[in-house]
Amino acid sequence: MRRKWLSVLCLLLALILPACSSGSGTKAADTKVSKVSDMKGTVRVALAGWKLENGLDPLTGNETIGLKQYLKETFNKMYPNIKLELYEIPWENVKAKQTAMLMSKDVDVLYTGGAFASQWYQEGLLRDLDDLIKNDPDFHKEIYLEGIWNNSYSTRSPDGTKQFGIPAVLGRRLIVYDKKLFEDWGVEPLSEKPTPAEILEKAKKMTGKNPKTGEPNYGLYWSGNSLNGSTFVALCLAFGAKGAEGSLKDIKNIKWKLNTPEMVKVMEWLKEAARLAPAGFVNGQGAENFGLARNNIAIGIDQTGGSTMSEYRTKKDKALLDRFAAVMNMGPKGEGWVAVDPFVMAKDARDPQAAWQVLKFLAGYETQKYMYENYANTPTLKNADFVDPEDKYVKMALKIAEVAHSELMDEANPFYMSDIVPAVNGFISKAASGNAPDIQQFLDDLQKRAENWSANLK
Amino acid sequence: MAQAGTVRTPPSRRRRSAAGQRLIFLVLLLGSVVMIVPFLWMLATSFDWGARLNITFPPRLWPEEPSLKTYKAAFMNVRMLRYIFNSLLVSAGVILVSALSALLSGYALSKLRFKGSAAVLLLALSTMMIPFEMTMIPQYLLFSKIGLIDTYWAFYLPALNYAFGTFLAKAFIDQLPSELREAAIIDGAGELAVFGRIYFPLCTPIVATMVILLFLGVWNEMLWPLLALKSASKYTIQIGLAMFTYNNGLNHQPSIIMAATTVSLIPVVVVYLFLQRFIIESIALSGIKQ
Repeated sequence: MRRKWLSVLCLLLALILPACSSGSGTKAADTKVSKVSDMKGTVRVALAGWKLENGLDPLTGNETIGLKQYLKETFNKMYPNIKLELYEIPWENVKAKQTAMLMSKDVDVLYTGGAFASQWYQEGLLRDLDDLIKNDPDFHKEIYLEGIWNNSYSTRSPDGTKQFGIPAVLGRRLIVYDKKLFEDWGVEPLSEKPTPAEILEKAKKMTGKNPKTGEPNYGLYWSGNSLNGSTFVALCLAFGAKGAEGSLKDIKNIKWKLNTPEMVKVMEWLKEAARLAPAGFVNGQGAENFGLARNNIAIGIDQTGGSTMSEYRTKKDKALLDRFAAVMNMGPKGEGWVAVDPFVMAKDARDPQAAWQVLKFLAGYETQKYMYENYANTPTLKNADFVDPEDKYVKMALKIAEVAHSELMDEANPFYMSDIVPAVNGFISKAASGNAPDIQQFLDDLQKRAENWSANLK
Repeated sequence: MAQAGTVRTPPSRRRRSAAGQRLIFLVLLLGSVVMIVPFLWMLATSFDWGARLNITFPPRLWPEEPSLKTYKAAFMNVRMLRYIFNSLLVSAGVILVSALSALLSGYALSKLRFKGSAAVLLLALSTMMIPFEMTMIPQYLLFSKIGLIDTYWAFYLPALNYAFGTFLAKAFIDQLPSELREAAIIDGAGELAVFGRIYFPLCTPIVATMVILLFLGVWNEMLWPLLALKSASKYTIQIGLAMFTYNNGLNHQPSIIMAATTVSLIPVVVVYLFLQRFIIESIALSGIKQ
């Protein structure tokens, strides 16, 4: 029996390994660069989720260029005397790894998650970049989206006076709807900046048996267990529910406003909307086919358009692109929660000048272009002219980011992450099963917990 | 002469017994299906080029577009063979260090009976109660200070403290007669010779148990390797798999992740096939199922 199993395994290996042998060489980067500086130094760079080696894009079958080759053809020619030590770190547990590296002074420049960067900055582990920016005539902050540059907690100190990061990659959270289902139900398309009321009203109309196909349809989808409560953030903006007043710089004296009438409206919306989504949404499931031909959900909130765009990249068929339209988020100006992953510098960077050149280059236009073309990362630039003209989802994400702003109701706020998001997700879960708690009582309780939390900090 | 013939079971009891057997069979069958179906789903998805964008739902147990291209994509994007080799290297070292350390300390605690041995055992066991999350940053800082970060010594040195193994070894050696040691000492053997020549050969079952538990533990470990290693060329297989799950451009490509996972399971299956007899014994001996 054991021999049979081993034979099967050997056969499997024999089949797999030849299939996995490397193919032809990679395409060369087309960037023309020349030497710009004799600056010397060694810079250690920890990159969350970047790929160093060349690989294969499974969607298109094209070979992708790893960061090492890209830098060899660009940065290394521009700064031949700056030696780079690159550490490739998967996103899983990246915070623990990068925290350890910062504490042991094993790193100079990091690419990381926005919330981690904000937390490290407040813990004194990161360096302000203002002096480096001021003394560098080659750095132009105007290239970045204004909404992001001026407002992101991922790159700015809580009081907004210091810059500790440069935005490099944007998170996409837009509203996507299925035109076909709207047509089947005879519902008017969503407006360019839909309000929560419009979304709810139209979603209600499209929940049930599709009048044309007879298949069950769901009016709405959003992730009911979102780790950062992004839909809740957008609703707070839409209803003007501030949740709190004050500054993260003076976190002990934040005045909580969690049980206001505006916040009641937010929760009422969530309560009603929870009945319109597929059951799995409370666990972040149920939208596996959204953006694809088999879709049965009319409106998706906080979507990326990734599945549709991947289908397009693979098959070059625009049918799905035409079917799934993108509009802005629910905030008054179309804003929502916008995640930004920045490049930051360690407080104890060995050689800040050399580290700055590296940081600037990695967050700059050329690298953002390279990351978009090879890995479909969303840029943070005003003039991202390299974006595929068909990529309407990235374009919409950039429009949303342009009007983005940080509030106290987002992941930079520790109480928001530790208590508010789990409480709201719990509320959504109960609402989905028809057992939503009394909203005012729920919010009063949350308000009390928030006040106790602040009191304990004093 | 008393008749030693068979005792007849009443038919009603036999029927009940047969019904009970069928019920047990059904429960076991259901349990097997619950275990096997996800594995088969993974295997089928790993060969399904059509599932590279989205996981097939409802699950399909036969690939829509059977292909080995998923495996090609897996191997071309992450250095799978290198990471498997690294994991084997780490596993072998950790098993050697931990098992030897546990056996020697277990032998000392069991047979040498020095003053305070009970306190030493208690102290060793108490280290198991501290969650790794509490100690990982200080441990990282310590290894960083002594320059052992990004080397496999960061695995081998902590492996010296294998408290659970010490406990297992002590419990096992307790059952072996102390007279063997006394006789060997009278014949002029030293402690190491007594351990190496007499007790160690008798410890095969517990050594096998430790090898299995350690191998599975090290193979599946993610957090410490991620902290301790900096160079991608030294990464272990679990870090490699994490790169598939979260890396840019590789998100949401289930069939490729499944292909990588299938390959990463091959060494575990091979170890299982060779040591399956001991695995069942190890569960009985240690009370732990990994």
